[in-house]
Amino acid sequence: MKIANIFLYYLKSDLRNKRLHVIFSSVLIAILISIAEGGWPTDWKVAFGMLISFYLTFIGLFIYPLKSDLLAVLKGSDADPLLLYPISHKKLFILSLLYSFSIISIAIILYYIFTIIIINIKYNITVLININILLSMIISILYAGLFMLFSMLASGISKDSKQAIGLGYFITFILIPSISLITLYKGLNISVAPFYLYIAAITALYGNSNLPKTLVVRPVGPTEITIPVLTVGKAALIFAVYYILLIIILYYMFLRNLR
Amino acid sequence: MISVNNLSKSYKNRCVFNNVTLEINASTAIFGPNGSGKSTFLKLLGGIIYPDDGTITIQGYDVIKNREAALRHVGIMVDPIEFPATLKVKDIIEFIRIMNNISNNKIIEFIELLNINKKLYNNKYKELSMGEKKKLRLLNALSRGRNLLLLDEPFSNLDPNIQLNLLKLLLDIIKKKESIIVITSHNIKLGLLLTNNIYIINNCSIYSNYQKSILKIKKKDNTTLEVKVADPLKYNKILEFLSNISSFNDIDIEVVS
Repeated sequence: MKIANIFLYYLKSDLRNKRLHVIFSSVLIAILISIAEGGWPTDWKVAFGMLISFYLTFIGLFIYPLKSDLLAVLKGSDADPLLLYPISHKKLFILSLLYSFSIISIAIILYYIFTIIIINIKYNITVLININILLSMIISILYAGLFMLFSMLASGISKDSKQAIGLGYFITFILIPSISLITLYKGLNISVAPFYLYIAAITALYGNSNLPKTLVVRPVGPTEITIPVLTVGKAALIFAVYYILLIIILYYMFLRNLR
Repeated sequence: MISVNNLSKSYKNRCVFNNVTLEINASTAIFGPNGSGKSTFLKLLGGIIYPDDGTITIQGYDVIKNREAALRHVGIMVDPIEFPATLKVKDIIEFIRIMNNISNNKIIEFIELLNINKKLYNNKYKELSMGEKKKLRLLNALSRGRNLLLLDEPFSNLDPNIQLNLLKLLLDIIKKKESIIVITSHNIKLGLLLTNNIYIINNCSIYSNYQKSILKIKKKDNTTLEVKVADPLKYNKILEFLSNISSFNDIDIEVVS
């Protein structure tokens, strides 16, 4: 009862706090899609779209929800309001992880719905909900679960929640995205990253473009999803910007608060 | 009630407590200069932060190893713990009621006593003033603290009439022996109105009578603090220390041989 109560009230608070962010991010995606339609080199458009997708994914799906008050304990803070109640630290840690997973899943579903709506309005593509897109959403949620799993496993290795979350972050944000990007670059049809949803959605818009090369072609209703093979230089650029952004975001929104 | 054994705590090479051992069995006021470790002490008692060394037990239960049993009826109000910023006041009140398992009547009684403005019920926590936030945090502590209340600077940022209400309530709790209250304060006047059991934190230690030299400390009148000391050699040091942490105009120190 009390655990359910905690979930309910914190969710209420977090959703109230983040609804503007969700709308803002979705509108931003729509604007970027419109800009990308302006005639830039096609592969640059895709590269740019991917970059922004990564950025929004990290802000929207991972870092921002992790700023929740409930997760203060996970970050090693002594400011978590739940510390006022007689819940063991272990239970608090697990509760924080589960809560984080729940809110990330909700965020993924919300982003998915917004993206579908925007693409439908802008491009009048009526049949975007198909098995591939649904799969990508499920993969995204599973990916969020991976982060939780790694953090929990790490918490078994180390009793220090700061180290546990650090390891979780490393595996989730550095190791797996790196593998994903490498597999994309190498032309393998493997994607376990949550930004796959964005890649799929944005690249769906280029179904009629004459992309120089396509990596994967998936039928999506009346159009096709095409993922281009990146050149080495552009892949390197995406990597560089991605990690710079990641370090800045992690520092200002997370690491800075560690004690 | 509270047993502290060989407690040590430091922050980045700054010693806060070094091998402190003490027992608290009655309501107590803790004084000390800024940064001496008053809030840290309450956080350690409440199991919010871990000691570097030593143990703390409440009613025989270790606050780290057996947190749930130790803190079952312990109300805590310490900085920087705040409620979620975007929860509305009415949601927070309901949250407090459910989490602390108290009746509607009881929470209404506390709300009236703390004079929480009903017009603010639809406001978010982050929109409240410092004083209003404090009232909600006090409401939570009072609702929970059936055995023990740990209150960090409970009187600061409150209007004088609310301070008086709170003081009356705390005195009533002490009189009826409903709960043991441990407060920290800069204000020796208010602290002494509540209890004569005093601890003073200074130089990594906690003294039940400062440097074992203070025999008696009490409020003489609104402007004067009366202190009796045993050791004439520590007279000046005690005077300087009490001047730093108290709001009294005069401190009468008498050396008792």
